[in-house]
Amino acid sequence: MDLLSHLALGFETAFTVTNLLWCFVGVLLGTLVGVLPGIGPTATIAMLLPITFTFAPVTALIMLSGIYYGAQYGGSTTAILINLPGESSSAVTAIDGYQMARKGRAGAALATAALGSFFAGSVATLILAIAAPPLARVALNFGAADYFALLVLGLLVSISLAHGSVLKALAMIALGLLLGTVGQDVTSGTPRFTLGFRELYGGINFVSLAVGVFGVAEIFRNLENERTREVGVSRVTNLWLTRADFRAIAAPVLRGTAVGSLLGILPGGGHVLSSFASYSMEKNLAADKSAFGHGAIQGVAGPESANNAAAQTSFIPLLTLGIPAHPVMALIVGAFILQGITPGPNVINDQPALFWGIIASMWIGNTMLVILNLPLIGLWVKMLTIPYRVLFPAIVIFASIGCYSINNNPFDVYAIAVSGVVGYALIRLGCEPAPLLLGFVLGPLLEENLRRAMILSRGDPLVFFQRPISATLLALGLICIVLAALPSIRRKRDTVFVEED
Amino acid sequence: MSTVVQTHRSRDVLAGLIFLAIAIAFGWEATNYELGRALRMGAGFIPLTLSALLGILGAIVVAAGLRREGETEVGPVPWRGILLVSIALILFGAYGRSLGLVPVVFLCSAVTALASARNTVLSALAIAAALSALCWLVFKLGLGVSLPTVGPLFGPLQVF
Repeated sequence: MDLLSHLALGFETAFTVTNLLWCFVGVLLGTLVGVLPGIGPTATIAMLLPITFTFAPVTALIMLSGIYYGAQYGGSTTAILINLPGESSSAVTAIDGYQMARKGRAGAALATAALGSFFAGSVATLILAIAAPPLARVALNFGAADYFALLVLGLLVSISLAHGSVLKALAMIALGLLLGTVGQDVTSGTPRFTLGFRELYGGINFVSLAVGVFGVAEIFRNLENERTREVGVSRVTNLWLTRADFRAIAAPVLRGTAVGSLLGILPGGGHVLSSFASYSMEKNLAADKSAFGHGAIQGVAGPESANNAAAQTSFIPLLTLGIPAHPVMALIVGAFILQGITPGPNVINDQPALFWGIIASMWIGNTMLVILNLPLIGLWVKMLTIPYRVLFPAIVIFASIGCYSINNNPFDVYAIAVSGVVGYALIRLGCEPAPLLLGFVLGPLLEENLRRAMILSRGDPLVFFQRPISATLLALGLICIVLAALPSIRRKRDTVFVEED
Repeated sequence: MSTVVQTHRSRDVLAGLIFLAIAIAFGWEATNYELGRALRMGAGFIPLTLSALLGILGAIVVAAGLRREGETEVGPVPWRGILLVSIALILFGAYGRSLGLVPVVFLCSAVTALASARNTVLSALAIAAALSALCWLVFKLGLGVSLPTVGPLFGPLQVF
């Protein structure tokens, strides 16, 4: 069995003291930022990215991935206890989870969320381990034109999953792509849009941009109206599920895992979409629909499993194709590049210990998360009492130190301020930041593959429609746009994305 | 909780105009670069194409926005917060190296904390002191960042 020997290699890598320690730090931090509303995994990973520079590649990636899936666990705690999504993907968990808590079943809701997440996370990691190698082999046959088409598809799919206006999302992608061209042109060496600043020759710092639009802009939004959080439940007891509870959640957890694993692969925020999809699915399938909204345990089990499954499978496009499915994955790409590794189909063959180590660490991390989240729940409840006015200065300072220490370049810190202000203005005007960041990351790849494809085809633009792979991918992209623009689907999207980060 | 009314029309038109302005600025600059041919594209080809695309999209957003109805209630723009956080970030960038980690963290967190109307001068100073200690522990002691603890600006008091 190939898979078994690979996994053995993975566990061997992940089970060193250093890697276990940083995996623990990652999931701990992930849970923490998941619990705290107002700071998410995107901003956290962006802040910590520079620090991981000194780590071995596998250690850095184990920790950063831990932050991401750890946040999925933490978000549900906040949703259940104070009816606020700690994480955008747990917005639906708040609906029934909070009602359960009000009826004194907070313990059961938290246990359901943690166990459902654990099951889904483990299964989805297995799917990742099985699906990644064959997909990577397929990807190795991709030519420049196919890669270009794939990148275009990725960008277009991300729009259909973003909420709000499709037009504005398209414009944000174009803006992101344009910002991605700042810096020295790879082929000719011409400095572009640098305004004479030497500091801009390497391009706009990706971490500064991410921290600006996801961290600082979010702080500005929270400062619009400052509220005090009310923690309704201060003590959680009775974390055990009854036999009847187990029977009630078994099917929703399985269905949630399936939905999440599937949607997680799609670009553009599959973990958010999947929890909504799972919730409406459970509601439609339930015998007693009236219980939903009043503390139905299925309404917690399904979405929580779905978002965690999606969090794991969203690593598939990244590890097999080198294409990030959403901003967090874009940051992980940044981490790979900082370590001098180009993410893509070659990683699995060239660096098997790295690839399988990350996968093995996901099982270890998920196990740690169950232990962290259930017995230590009291600690997280305490965390919720930290007021926001103390929290946001810490976010700003950590971000500054983090960005500054990448290159010791003051420009990177100024860039946070600029992208924060511009990002806030655009968000306030109803534009989503995620497509912008995705465009920014994929822009250079897109340009490189386009230019290469054109050289290979001797300047014939029809090459994109003649190669079967690229033609299919482009057609799929077109379908996505048409579907997203259809009025009936637009209404659905509006209702699905009631709460987003 | 105070709110202000934002019409969808003004929101879309403004967003579109921002896109248009950025597109024109980038497009203008991109004409200075070599365009190249389809076979061997120059440095300016992609930026110019993208600027044109962004400009067209921006114009459509404006046009579509002019016909939109309805309004939403949003919170007031936190001018004070935006100003203070930006000042803190610029201070950090400009004086981080000469002030050193601990003084710059103290200064910037105090300025940032005042961005919230709920912080008094006293609580801002307390937050700044706590964060200075925390950052020194985590970043200097733990991770060994290259910023000096107390920078050269303090002359003989400098600590690496």
